[in-house]
Amino acid sequence: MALVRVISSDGAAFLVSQRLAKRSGKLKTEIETFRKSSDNSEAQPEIRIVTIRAEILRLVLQWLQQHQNDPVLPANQNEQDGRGDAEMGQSQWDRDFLAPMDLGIVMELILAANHLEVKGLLDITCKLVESKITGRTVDEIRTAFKLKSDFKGNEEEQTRLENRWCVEN
Amino acid sequence: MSNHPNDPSRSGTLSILTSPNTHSYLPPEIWGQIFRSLSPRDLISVADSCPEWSELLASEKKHALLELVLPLLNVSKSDILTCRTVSRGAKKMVDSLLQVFAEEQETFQFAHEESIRQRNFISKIHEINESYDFRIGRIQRGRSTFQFLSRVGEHLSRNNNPFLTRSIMILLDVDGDEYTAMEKTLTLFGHHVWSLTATIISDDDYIENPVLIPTKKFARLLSLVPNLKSLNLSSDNSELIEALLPEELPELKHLVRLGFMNWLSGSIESVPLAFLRRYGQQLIELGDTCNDSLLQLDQLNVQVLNELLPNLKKLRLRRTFDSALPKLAKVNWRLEELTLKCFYEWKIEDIFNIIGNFSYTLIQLQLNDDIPFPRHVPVGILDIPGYPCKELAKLQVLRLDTEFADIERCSWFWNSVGTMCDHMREIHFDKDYHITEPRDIEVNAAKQIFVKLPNLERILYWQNNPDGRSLSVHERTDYVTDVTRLSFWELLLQKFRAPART
Repeated sequence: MALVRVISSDGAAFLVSQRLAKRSGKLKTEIETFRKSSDNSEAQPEIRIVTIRAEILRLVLQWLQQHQNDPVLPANQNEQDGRGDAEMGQSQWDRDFLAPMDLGIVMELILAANHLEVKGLLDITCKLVESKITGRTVDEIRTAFKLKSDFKGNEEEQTRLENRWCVEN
Repeated sequence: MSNHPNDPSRSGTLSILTSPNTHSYLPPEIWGQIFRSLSPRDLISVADSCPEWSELLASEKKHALLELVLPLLNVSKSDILTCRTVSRGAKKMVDSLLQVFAEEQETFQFAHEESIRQRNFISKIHEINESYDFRIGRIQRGRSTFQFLSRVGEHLSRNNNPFLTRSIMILLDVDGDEYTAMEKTLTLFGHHVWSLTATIISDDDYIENPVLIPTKKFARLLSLVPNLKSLNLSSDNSELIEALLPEELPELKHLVRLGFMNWLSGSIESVPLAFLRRYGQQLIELGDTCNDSLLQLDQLNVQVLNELLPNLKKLRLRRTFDSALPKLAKVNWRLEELTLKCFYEWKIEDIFNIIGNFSYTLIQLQLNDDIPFPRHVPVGILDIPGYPCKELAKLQVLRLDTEFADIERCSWFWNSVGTMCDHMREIHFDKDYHITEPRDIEVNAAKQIFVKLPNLERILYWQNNPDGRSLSVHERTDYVTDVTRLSFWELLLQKFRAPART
């Protein structure tokens, strides 16, 4: 089985089958570029992902492993509203996979899925974060993202005033 | 920081962070303040570098993540605005996003945004931007500067930026209360504005009772927006304009983008030329989409153009007659991005002489509208001077009207493209929404183009539909078998094709 070594920003190496890795658009391109530039067709590609740390990369690979037999969705597939196929494609396994995660980790997963071009993972993670913002009150968003209000004086009221002009006009 | 690996291969930033000479002298809150000025990516890297930083920067990291993630989410305009009221950090993050995306929209769009998620986000920013379109105040009273001042401006201090996208649109010919409100608004908040679109709109009253467009008042307004980076001046063909001298215009140190739309030759000399003479030296981008191009003016000969615009890198030109084309083929600008649209009375050699003039610097080239159908059929094309032009060594992206995808019909172009654009990575075709070409026509064209351009990676077909823009992408890797199968014969044929003239 042909393998590829994928290295995270903090130096952790993951040995992955090329078949699995190629389900990421980015890794597929990197493997093909390596093949073109390498004289030795048996050489094992090594891909360094400088923007993704080990904890997140492991989660991406875990998701890819689980979905290895799903059809690959092109990253720029035309969609009517950009919501992707999250609702259609989200399985019980996906829900269990995301459930224990802090929103910070989910946001890191979004960036990783976007960078690695893993559309299915991008869709379900975006959907989760969208659900914490869409139609929510400010307090609900603060609670979901564990952020505290640190406005001083009438800053918050002024911000609402600026917003109101944009909403009403 | 003690558990941080002392690895020499780590970045310089990390070495500084782990240095015992730096970290122990500053209290955590000071480090927090310092790191808040970093870009979101850098801030996340620092937060991830060790558990202590992670704990200290937990809230900043979340804001930085939200800044990077928000453009990928499908949330509404009001949801984006709600995020501004979560915390100071979230407000700073959303405002920074809105300003960056709005400013990107000001620059030339050679390649459309591919991510449909980001396209959705940009459309929400356009919605927010429309709140500062004070041109329609005359029609919708609620959108006037007067209303803005009373409902928002008078409740904020000068330090607050009330224009979320830092971009506003105004009328040049406002008078009375509206002008007073505009002047007061810009006196208070003009220093926050980065982009200004000013338009002359004549209405029916003006036709019966014509009013001289007060450009000198506009010069006064410009002095109130000292941090302006982009200025677009648009006219609705009005000819009754107060003459303006370059020296009457204020200094705008940051202005690098200037655009003119819909000016006629009668008025073009009064206003656009004055702006060009005043700010030409500092311009990086020029958009000349006038009904009659500025380049046609006799006083703008090649030498004057060279002196007026020595730093020009990006040019967008729409509608120009044959008298202007030789000038473009001779100016000494080092253009990196060039858009040519809708020429009149043009010849094949005009196009190749112009492109060839920028062959050492051009990175992106866009050819649109009527260009693929020359009136002079290129008989004996190899004898045409300047055809094909020199190799465009830096050209990476070519954007064409979809008519160019008809390889046979545009053979005058495609026969030369292999020698001109050997290093090119991407071709973008723009289709009108009423054109519904079957997919196999796209595929056949892509197949032929990949053979002609061995380094080309992708071909993208964009279609403007009433409900948005759709995209189909053809990657070289999808064609690798076909291209390999064809390439031997095609390469053989290419060898016998007419060589490039020097």
